[in-house]
Amino acid sequence: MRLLYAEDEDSLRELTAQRLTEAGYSVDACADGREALDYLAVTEYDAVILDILMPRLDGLSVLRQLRREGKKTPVLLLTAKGSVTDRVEGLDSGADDYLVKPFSFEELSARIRVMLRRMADSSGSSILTLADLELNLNTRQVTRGGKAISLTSKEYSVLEYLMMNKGIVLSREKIEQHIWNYDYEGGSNVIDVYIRCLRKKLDTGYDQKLIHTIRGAGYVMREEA
Amino acid sequence: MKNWSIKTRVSLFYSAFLLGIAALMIIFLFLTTDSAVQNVTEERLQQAVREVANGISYFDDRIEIDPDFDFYAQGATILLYGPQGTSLAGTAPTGFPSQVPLVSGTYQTVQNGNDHWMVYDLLVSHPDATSLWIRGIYLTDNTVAAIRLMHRVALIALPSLFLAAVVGGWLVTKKAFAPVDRIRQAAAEISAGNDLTRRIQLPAHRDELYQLTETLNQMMERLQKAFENERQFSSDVSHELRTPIAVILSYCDYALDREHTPEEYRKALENIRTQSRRMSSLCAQLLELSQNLQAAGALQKEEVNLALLCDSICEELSTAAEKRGIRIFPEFPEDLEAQVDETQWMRLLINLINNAIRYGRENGEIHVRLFAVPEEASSGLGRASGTPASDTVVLQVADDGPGIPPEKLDKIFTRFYQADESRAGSKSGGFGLGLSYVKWIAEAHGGTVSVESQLGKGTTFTVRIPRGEATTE
Repeated sequence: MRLLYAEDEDSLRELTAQRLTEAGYSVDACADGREALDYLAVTEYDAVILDILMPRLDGLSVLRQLRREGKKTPVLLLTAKGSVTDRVEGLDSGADDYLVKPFSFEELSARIRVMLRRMADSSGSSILTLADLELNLNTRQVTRGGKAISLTSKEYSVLEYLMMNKGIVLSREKIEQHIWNYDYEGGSNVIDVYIRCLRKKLDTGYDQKLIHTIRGAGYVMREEA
Repeated sequence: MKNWSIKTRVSLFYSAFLLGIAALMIIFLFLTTDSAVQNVTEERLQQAVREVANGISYFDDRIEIDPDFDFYAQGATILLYGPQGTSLAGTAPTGFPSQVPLVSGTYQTVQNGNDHWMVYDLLVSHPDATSLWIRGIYLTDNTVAAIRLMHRVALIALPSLFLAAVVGGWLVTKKAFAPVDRIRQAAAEISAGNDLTRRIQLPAHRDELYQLTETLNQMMERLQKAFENERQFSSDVSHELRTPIAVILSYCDYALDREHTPEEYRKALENIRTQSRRMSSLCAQLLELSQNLQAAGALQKEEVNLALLCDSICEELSTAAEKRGIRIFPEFPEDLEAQVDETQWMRLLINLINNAIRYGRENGEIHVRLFAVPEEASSGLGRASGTPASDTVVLQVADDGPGIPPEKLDKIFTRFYQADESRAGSKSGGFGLGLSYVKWIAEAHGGTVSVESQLGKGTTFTVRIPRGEATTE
C-alpha cells in the first residue's frame, strides 16, 4: 500500500518513513504542503499522513484542497496541535483520524491499518477472505484452506492490494503505483513475475483459481466464475 | 618536533645515539683505567714488599740482608725500619715527605707537590728476632701520565669520530631524499595544471621511492580514466535526453502551428506523453544507479525462494523469447532459499535474459542455471566486514549467439554502452543501462558479475552473491 507522508521536521520524517517502509508500506515523503499537493496531483495514494504546521502550505489547506477535488483518500493528521478545538477543526475539515505528537509508532501503524481496512471492507474486519483464502491485515499472515503460506514482503503487498480491491480489475500501472514509491522504476515484467509467483504459491494445487488475468486490462482476484 | 623533516629526525636520532655511546665510552674509560691501573700498582707494590720480606734472613740478634739486596724492586723503592720506626736501610726517594706513618698491610697514597707515591708497609714479626718494618714506595706519576695521555686521545678522537659520523649521515640521507622533493614538485605541477595525462618521472634506483612513484602514476591513470568516464557519461546523458526532447518540441510546434482536429491533438499529446515517460524512466534508472551501494535502505533483503522466482521469470519471458524462436531452458533445483531483495533480483535476471534474447541467435537456446556453492569456495567475494561467511549462490545465463569481441568485454558494464554503435537498441526501449544495472545489483548484494564469451559460440554471464544466513522467524 502506498502512503504519502508530509512532515517538515527532517529527522522525524526520515525515521518514521523508514519505519513505515519496514512495516511493508511504500512511502513517498515530503517536507511541505505545496510538495504534498504536487504528489497528490499525480499519484493515487492509499492513505495520506499530514502534519499541520508546515512551511509554504499547512496541512489543513492541503486536506481541504484534497476534499474539494472529491478525493476520498483516507487522511490522518499527525500534529503537535492537540487542543480539543484543533482536533475538531481537523476532523471537520475532512480528516479520517487525528493523532497528537509525541506519538508512538505502534499507534500510528494501527491507525493506518484501521483507515485502510475501512476503505477495503465495509464490515471493518481485519481479515480479508476469498473462498478459502484468508489474509490477516494485522498479522500479515496468509492461509489457504487453513495451510499457512509464506510470502515475501512485496508478494504480500501485491496480494493485499488485490484482495482489498477484490472483484475489481486492476491494471499493471495501478498495481505498480500502489506497491512501489517514486524511488523505484521498474518495468511491467516485474508485476507479471510477481503475479506468477503468487499464483504458484496460492493457486497451484488448488482446484479453484483465484488470480485471473484479463487480457488487455490487468488482473483481478475473484472466485472462478 | 612533529614538523621536523625526516632528515633532521634521523640525523638527530643517530647523532644523539652516537653521542651517548661516545660519552659512555669516555666515562667508562676514565673510571676503569684509573682503578685498574691502581689495582695493578697495588699488587705489584705488595708483591715487591713481600719478596723483600722473603729475601731477608733472620738471626738471633741481627738481621742479615743479602748483599745483593736490591732496594729498588719492580719500580718500588724499599726501605727498612726497626720496630720503633728507626730507619735501618734504604733511602726514600727525593721529595718523599718524611712523616708518613707506618701502617702495616694497607696502601697509602702520598702527594707532595706534583709527585704522587703509593706506599705499602709490612710489619714482619719473627718469633726469634726483633720485628722489622718493610716499606715499599712507588712513584705513580708514570701511570698517571699514561692515563692522562689516554684520556686526552679519547677526548679528541671520539668527538671527532662523532662529528664525522653526523656529517656523513646527513649527507647520505640528504641525497637519498632528494627524489622525494622532486616527486612532490612534479605532483604539485600536475594537480595545479589541467593536463591529467602527465606522469611523474621514475627515479633511478628501484627502491621505495620508485614504488611510490609508480603507485602515484597509477593513481593518476585512474583519475584520468574517471574524469574521462564522467565526461563521456555527461555527454551520453545529454544525447539520450536530446532525442525525446526534440520529439516533444516538434510535436508541440506541430500542435500549436495551426488548428488541428481533436484526434490530431490527441495523437500529438500521446506522443509527448510517451517521450516524457521515457525521459522520466531514464532519470529514475540513472538516479538508482548513482545510489550509494552501502546506503541503508537501498536494498530490502529477505528470505526468498530463488528457484521459484527464477522459474517464474523464465516462464514470463518465454513469450518474448518465442518471438525470435528462442527457447529458455531453466536448470535449477526445486528450492533454493537466499537473502536477497526480491524486486532487484527480478530486475537483474530480467535484464540478463532480455539481453540474451536481444543478442542471442535466432531459434537458439538460452540456459539459465542456478545453484549454490558451499562456504569454502566463496572466499574472495566482496562482503561487508562483519557479516558471517556463507554459501555462494551462482546464477548463469548462457546464450548461443554471436558472442562479444574480447576487446569490448570489460566495457559492456559501463553506463549507456550498447553493443550496436548506431544505438539501434534505443528503438526497442533500451538505454544501454541494463548491464550496469545488473552490476549494481550484484555488488549491492555483496557479490560480483562476470562475463565469458566466444565469438560465434555464445556468451555466458555469471552472477555470484553470498547466500546470507537464514533468519530465524
